[in-house]
Amino acid sequence: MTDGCLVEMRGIVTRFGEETVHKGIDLCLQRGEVLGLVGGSGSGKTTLLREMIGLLRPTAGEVRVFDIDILTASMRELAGLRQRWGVLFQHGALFSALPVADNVAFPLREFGIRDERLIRRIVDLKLSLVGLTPRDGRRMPAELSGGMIKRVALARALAMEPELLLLDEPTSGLDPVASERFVELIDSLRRDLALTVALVTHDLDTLADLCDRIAVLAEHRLVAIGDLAEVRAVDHPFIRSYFHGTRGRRAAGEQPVAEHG
Amino acid sequence: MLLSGDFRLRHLAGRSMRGLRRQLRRYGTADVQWDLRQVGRLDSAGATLLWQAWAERRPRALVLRPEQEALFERLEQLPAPTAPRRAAQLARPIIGVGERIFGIGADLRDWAWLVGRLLLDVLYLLVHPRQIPLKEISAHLTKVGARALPITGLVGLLIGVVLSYLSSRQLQQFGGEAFLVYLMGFGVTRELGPLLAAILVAGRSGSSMTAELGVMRVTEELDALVALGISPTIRLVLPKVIGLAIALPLLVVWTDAMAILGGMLIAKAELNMTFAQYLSDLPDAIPLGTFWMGMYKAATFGMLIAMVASHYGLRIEPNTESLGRETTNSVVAAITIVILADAVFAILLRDVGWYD
Repeated sequence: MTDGCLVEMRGIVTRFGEETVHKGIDLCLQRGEVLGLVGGSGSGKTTLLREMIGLLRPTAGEVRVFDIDILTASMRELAGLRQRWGVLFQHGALFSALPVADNVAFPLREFGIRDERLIRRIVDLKLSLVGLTPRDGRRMPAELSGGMIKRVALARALAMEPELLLLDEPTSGLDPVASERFVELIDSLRRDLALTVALVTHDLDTLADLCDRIAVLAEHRLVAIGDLAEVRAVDHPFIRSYFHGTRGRRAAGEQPVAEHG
Repeated sequence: MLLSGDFRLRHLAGRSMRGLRRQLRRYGTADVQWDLRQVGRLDSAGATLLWQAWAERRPRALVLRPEQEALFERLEQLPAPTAPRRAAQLARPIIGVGERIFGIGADLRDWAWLVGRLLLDVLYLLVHPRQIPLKEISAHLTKVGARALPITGLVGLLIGVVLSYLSSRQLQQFGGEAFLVYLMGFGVTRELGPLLAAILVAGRSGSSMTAELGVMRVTEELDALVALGISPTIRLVLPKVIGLAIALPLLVVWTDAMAILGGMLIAKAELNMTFAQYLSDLPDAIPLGTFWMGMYKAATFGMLIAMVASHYGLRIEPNTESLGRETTNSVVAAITIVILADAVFAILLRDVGWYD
């Protein structure tokens, strides 16, 4: 295996019944980087993310996380792995029956920490890390705004001090200001906690501001991978429409120009 | 105080932590110098452990590596821990009783609202007959009626078999075998059939109606309907009520028939009564009044079940626990109300439908 790959996917083929989603994808997530997965709707970005953590089994291929093949790993190995990654689901996936503080404390209690005083303080700390106050901990998920749900979900994802953070559309459904602040938050956390991050997004600004590398999924394959400039240089219909529209150019820091061609 | 080793969340759960915690507690607030430079890995959970040992204050003499600084800075900025409120402890039972009473009050108010709303909807539909949700009603007829045929038929048949077997044994003791038909025909059509079918439907369709409405509320589909100018009670609740009011009497006829069929099989097996004999006695055994009474009861039970299910469905709050709780409540309440209504019917109609 290549040195420094935290997540390595090889020859991933995914089929749902008749429908093929991935036709042989190779991907390496390097330690310490932020990798953005982009692609059109239904191109299988979220599916790929789910396959990284074993929520879905690819039809064929190999997935190695922290150098453990998760398709053949034992329950014990998987349990160990699950403490090393944190996942932020697209809609937060907070436990709706539990208040915010218990949502964040949930993985800690499951892990076997019995000292409630310590748990409460760790929860306060995690909440402050994502810009919430201990007072917010008493609220129920149904009372939260979209942005707060994402923050709480991020706090829960960070509860186990993960090395690998997976984010499924972290900024979708947020207004531009909230979305920018959320990107800044992830960026600062990533530096403070030395995280490796894989994220799925539609948002070009998120890609430009946060990602070290970008992987583009189209036509069931990985058509490009590299930093923003490299990806933009690839000649592919999807990349052209995605990165070279006016919004794509603005995100890349270009001045808007007249239509070329 | 020189600390070394890893202070990480991953090590905080084990037994070995106890000794460390005791040591930390002993020296935590003592006036010593703390040196964390030898610590291998320190994460925020480990830092929190130390911080609590220091009674949430930075020790006067603390030596850190630069990257550890950020962790403790963040801890320093945390607001003081709020003491959990204990004052209400004594008053809790009283508060509980009060909440229960207000809960019942709110329940009755919601129930009155639903009944009133449905009445208004019916009046509205009488004036605007084109808006009667025929498609929804027909869909519900299939869902709660046709699809329930196998289960109600099976249960009806088995209950008929069991009941007639026990009765035939008793009747044989004083030579009253001929009365089995009367016992079965009368008892089943008047009481057992409607009750059996209603209880099965309450469990089967009542729960699904509650869950359906509840999820629609949680996912804001109800709000979407209102925003589109469609009344959720006309489109969702009324078809359920009308659908069950039509389907349940039909199911009762079917359940009655299967129970009586069960009785017929036992009559043949235990009492050597031929099918022809049994069937020829049957019309005499079931007075028309009793049959219709069963039908009216079934229609009422159907409406009650649908209304109870809708009532609880509309109360569901957006969390998983509430969904489960209200669905259970719905089924329990529907069955209880059906049996209560049955008792009321039994008293009110005590002179109806007997043999001449």
